[in-house]
Amino acid sequence: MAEVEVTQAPPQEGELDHELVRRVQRGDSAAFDLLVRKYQHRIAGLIGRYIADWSECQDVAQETFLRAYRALGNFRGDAQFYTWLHRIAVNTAKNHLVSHHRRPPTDDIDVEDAEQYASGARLRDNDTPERELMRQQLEQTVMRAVEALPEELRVAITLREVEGLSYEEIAKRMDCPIGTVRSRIFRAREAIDEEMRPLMDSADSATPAERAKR
Amino acid sequence: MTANDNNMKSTGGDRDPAVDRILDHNRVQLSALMDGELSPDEARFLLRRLEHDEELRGCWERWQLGGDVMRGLGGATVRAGFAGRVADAIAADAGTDGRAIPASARSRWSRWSGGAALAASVAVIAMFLVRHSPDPGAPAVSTPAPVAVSQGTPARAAPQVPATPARAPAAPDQAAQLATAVAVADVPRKVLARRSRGQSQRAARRAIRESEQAPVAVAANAAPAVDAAAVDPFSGQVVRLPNRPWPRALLPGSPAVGAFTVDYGSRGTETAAPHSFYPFVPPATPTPSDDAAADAPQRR
Repeated sequence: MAEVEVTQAPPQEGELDHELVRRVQRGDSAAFDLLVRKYQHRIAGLIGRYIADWSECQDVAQETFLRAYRALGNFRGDAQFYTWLHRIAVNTAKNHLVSHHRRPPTDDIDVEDAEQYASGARLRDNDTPERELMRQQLEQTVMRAVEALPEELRVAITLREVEGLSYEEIAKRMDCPIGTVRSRIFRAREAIDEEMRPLMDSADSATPAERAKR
Repeated sequence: MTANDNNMKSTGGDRDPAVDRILDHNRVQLSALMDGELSPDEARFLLRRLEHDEELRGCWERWQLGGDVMRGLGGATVRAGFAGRVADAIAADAGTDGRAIPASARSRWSRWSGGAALAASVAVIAMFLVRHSPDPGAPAVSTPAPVAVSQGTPARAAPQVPATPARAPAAPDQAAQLATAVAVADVPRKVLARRSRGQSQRAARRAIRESEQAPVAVAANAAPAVDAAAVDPFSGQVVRLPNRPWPRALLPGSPAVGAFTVDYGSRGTETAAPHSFYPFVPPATPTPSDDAAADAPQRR
């Protein structure tokens, strides 16, 4: 049993990205769809720090993924996929600004610094009120959902998502089996998703201007 | 384990409990997959299911966004259907660009084909250089070969041998030339044999017969390197020079004895004129039958 667990060791999250990349390189475009869905919000947020206009930001984000797809055949997996994607997004945003005769910022945003307040505050000043409202609504909804979780679910999901612990580490910390950790994290996600879904559905059906009026 | 752990929540109120259990199982696995805690086999199975399950992909997207928000990374959501638009753009790009996947196999094949083309080019150039490499010792021996093949007149090759005795090429050069000649001559024969499959038996036989004359011609032109002809600068007669030019005094039929010929006084003197002055001939024991040897002490 122990040998089976060793050979069937679960892949790490970076390994999951690499597995998806390998699938795309073999011609499985559905795997690329999963990568897009996983990183679209993060990439859009990153591009939003360079480009103020929300609509332009969407176009540049789409162009980023298109470029990434074209170049994915040359991705060898030496770096993390998101690090590679981050660089493409920054270059695409800068090229977009240059092509529109706008001066790109002189300092780059590294992956590690991407969400630091010091580097992000200056660029977030460019946010439109709609984007700011949408961001606040989403953040408040998620935080409210987390606060409403039972203690064991809240601790499990926080240890996983915020502190990045593995299931085994969480099981040791919470003194429970790994299967219980898996179940708690799943149910916490389900509960948060229940709160997020109406917001996402309304965002799907409404334009940014309409959402700003609410 | 608390009571909450045993109470799996289902999203559909009036669905079959068995279906709910399956869907819950898939979502539990999806949650583990997101965290990198699913075994490779289960991950492969679930990734295949994700390709066809839109609801599961929606879960994947929202859960990722929820995690980003908890980590402080989220907030800037994209338009609804962003992933679908990217997929459409990729499909349109593949339609205009003529490729359905990112470089991957295409670049691999192009890399292989490029390498093969490069290797073939180098091989052709190397073969060309080997065939036409200037041999300072025997330039006239190797160069007429292709001319003779193209004109079909191998007999004219002999007069093109230079008047001065040429140094014969080394044995490896001869072997290389012969091998090249046979290889070059063998190619048209094979090609013609291949072409003649669709023709009549007689035409094929005639084509092969004609092509078989080519290696003979090439070989005939390559052969003079072994047995070259030269004009004796003193007597004006054409003499056949064997492969090894030195010591010429040992060779039959050569102008063995002359003013500038070195020998050991052992042979060749019976047919040649006596030396006028030759101080380096070692003393030889005179024999009654050897007139030349009898003359040697007199020259001293």
